[in-house]
Amino acid sequence: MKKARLAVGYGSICGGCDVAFTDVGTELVDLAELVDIVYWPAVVDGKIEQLKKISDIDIGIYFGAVRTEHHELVLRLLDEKSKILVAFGTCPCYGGIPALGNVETSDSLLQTAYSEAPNTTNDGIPGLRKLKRQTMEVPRLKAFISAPSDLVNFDVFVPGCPPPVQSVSKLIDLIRDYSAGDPIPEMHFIAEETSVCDFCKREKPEVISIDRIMRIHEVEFNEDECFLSQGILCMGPVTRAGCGEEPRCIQKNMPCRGCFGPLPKVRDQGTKFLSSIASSIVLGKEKNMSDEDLQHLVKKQVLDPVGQFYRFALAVAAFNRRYTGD
Amino acid sequence: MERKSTERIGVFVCHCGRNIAETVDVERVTEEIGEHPSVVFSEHYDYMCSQPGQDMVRDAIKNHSLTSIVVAACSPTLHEKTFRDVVEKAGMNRYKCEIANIREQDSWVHTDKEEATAKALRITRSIVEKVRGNRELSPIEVDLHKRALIIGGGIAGMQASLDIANAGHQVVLVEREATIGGHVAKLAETFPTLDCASCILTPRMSEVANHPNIKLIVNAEVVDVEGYVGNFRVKILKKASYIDADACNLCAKCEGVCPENVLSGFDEYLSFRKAIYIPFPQAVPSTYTIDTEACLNPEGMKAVICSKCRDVCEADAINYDRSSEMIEEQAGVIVVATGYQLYAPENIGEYGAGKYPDIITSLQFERLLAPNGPTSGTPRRPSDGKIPKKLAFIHCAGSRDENHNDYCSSICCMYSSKQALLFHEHYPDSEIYNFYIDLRASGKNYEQFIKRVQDEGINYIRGKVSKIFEQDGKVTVFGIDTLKGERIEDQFDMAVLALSMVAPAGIRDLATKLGISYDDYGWISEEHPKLRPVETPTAGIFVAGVAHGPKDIQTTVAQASGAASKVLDMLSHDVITHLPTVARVERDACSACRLCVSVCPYSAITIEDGAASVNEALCEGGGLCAAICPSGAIELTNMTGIQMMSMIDAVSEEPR
Repeated sequence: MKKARLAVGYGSICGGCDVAFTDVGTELVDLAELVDIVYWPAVVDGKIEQLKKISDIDIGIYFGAVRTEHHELVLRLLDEKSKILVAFGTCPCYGGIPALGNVETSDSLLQTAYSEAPNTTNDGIPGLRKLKRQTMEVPRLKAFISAPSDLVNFDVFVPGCPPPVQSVSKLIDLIRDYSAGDPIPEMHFIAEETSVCDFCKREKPEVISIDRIMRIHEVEFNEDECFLSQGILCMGPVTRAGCGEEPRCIQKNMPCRGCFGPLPKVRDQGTKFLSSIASSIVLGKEKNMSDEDLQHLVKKQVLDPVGQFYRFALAVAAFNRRYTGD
Repeated sequence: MERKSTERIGVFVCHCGRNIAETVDVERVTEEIGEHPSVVFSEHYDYMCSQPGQDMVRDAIKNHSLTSIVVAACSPTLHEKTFRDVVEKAGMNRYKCEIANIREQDSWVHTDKEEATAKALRITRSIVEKVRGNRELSPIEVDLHKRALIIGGGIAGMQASLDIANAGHQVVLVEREATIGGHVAKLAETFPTLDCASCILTPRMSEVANHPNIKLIVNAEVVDVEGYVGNFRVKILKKASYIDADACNLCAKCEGVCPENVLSGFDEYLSFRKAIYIPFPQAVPSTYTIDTEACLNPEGMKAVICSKCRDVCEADAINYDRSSEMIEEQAGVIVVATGYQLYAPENIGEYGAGKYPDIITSLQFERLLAPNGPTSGTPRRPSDGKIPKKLAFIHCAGSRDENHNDYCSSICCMYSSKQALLFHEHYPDSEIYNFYIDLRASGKNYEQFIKRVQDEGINYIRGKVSKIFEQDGKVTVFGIDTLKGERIEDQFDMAVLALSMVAPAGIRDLATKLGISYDDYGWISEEHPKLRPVETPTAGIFVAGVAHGPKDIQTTVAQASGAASKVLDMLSHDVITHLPTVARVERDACSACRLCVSVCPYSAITIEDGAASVNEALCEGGGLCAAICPSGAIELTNMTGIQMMSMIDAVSEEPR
């Protein structure tokens, strides 16, 4: 059997996906037998010139979001050269954590990083132009962060921040099937089709009404009961299952953070959650509360609404970046 | 103008005289919407709802083979039905017709013609996008249980029951008290004709009692309501009745031997009655009743400490072994006629009622005037039994006051004047003052009645009373005469507070069980204040009388007949048709998170076999479930997520 050619390209990454990928352990040996790794900055080589030269990639895997022009170049090259393109991790699927940068403009991010941060002594900021130092070139920031899935068409999506070990195993299985000549289903998600709630073992009351939004450290909660009905914001209802047979954060007694992104029929996870929560807060008791009280209830207890609701999927939300007038 | 396209939408823009055309350039809207790729025909006209306008729609559907139409005009609550009927006659499915509201949401609220025209275009474009996604639908048919449940046996509930029963339908009438009749039974005479209240009421009561189509359940409350229009299943808790109504011959011997005295609710706590009692001689059902709270025997007759009434009863009508029962009734329609209660006078501390005996409520005074009242119609004051010489009537006690109830109770000006007149007719030498804010006498012959009272020599002082208290056996009233600009400090023998009408205790609970809404005060909300005043937003549930808000007897009776006619309309069909624009669940996408179940105000959603399931007959198409569904598994028929997004795109698109 001819070995498939595998390339891994990076966007804006934290490095976690590399670790998660290798976390699969001995199955990496199986992978090594299945594929030739032709490009993977952390493993073989990572120069862009190298990627430009490579042709005939069977499986292209992209980590991270698109923050700079360089990230987009890597993405476009992988897309052009790969037969099967895989979005590995939440960032290429939905923008992920880096997309939270969209609450600011790129200019103001640079301003903070290069000028206002307490430990910097720079005279000026690089701005959005290219920086050249001898042969090195610092790529230009794009105006905003995009989810790679909005820029190219992926064949396989592996959500999760980071994807769990069993997703990596399933991806390796998929590569094995592909090498054996089996077709890969279109827009294939290595995840479940229903929500985290469907897999959560906690007890749900008949009526879910939130009297007060609590933060996890503020309350001694019942470990067997639904987080939401106890007033703790859990992204489970709006998040795809697939992180484990029992959802991995909930199993460890923490509410779901939403890293598997929205459900198949939903694009905007954060807004969907807001809409769900808005209807459940003080359900049936709204009439006895003033508008100010209601607003206070949310504003006081949700200190970082964007971070809370749009933590992993801001880039694909309906309102996904600061308005800059263009 | 006509264009070529596979989708063939017609748009009709209404001028509504100058209502729309003054602020919206209807010609430009017509022209520009005509350039939409799916719009093949667009036209404008003075009044689209007129016959020529309707003909224009009908002809265009035929001549241009339209597949759907949009009428850009007034609110869909007004003419949606008109145009859907028109398209149906022309052979088009009625759900392929939509209304773009460019009047209430545009021309009436803007002045800049340029901006209003652009907005009209955006609104119309968004509705064109909606109608493109509309599916052809047919109404859902639901079986109908041909029986009406009336909650409340006051004048409203009685009128509605009789109207429905006389038309040949079965009625179940549920009353909380031991007798029907409600507040009207307590009144002396009614304004403005001064009819004796019990003379006009009691024939009605016995008609209810004897009507073969009316099943009367007293001492009972509705505790649970399930089901939906046409098929309500109602649980009624009937308090134990220890007396067999058919056997009781009203000999009153039991009353004679009963050792327990309690204040009479019927007499507004001005007289005593026994623990075994009949509220008043013409009570319906005509039987004695045991007030279990007052009876010596413990709650539920668990032990028999005293059996004097049973021992003396020759008819053997008394049996202590009975218990409360849960009655289950089925009904196709429900009328809520729960009436009112008086605002608690203790809430107005500065008026002294409850603290001083001679400061009484208007209903108490009504009992003092009534021939069957505690003083047999001679109005004696509670403190010493003397007939007062100088009286003050305090209007708006708790009404039109932001510290209490900011609404007008609508009848107090009239009944205070009536009470003043009745008293003055008996005692022409008496001196009577009405303290009022404004005199509201807008009913038929009401103004003439007030004039008559004034001509009788009864004084009206315009100004709010600030304080009432008793001092040296006299009721002192502090107030102001705003017409003279003088402070008033005067002494009276008695003061009568015209307390505001408030929603009765338990009405919010009942409304929640019925799935109907109420306003900030607890009055039941109607579907539309002008066009659907007796319908609640929940299909099959109607409201009559003061349950809906303060009103006088004649309006109450008229409204009860109105509700009855709506009930009869429904009962005249064999099946009920229900709007097909209901929520639908894609079961595979549902994770059974229960959020939709919690949020549905109509209890239309249940979880079945691990996925949400919508009862189409209960669903009113509110859409809360679709909005809350975290999985996007619920969609509203003809208002899907895709339709909504394309509508949003259409309104946010910059006009060329």
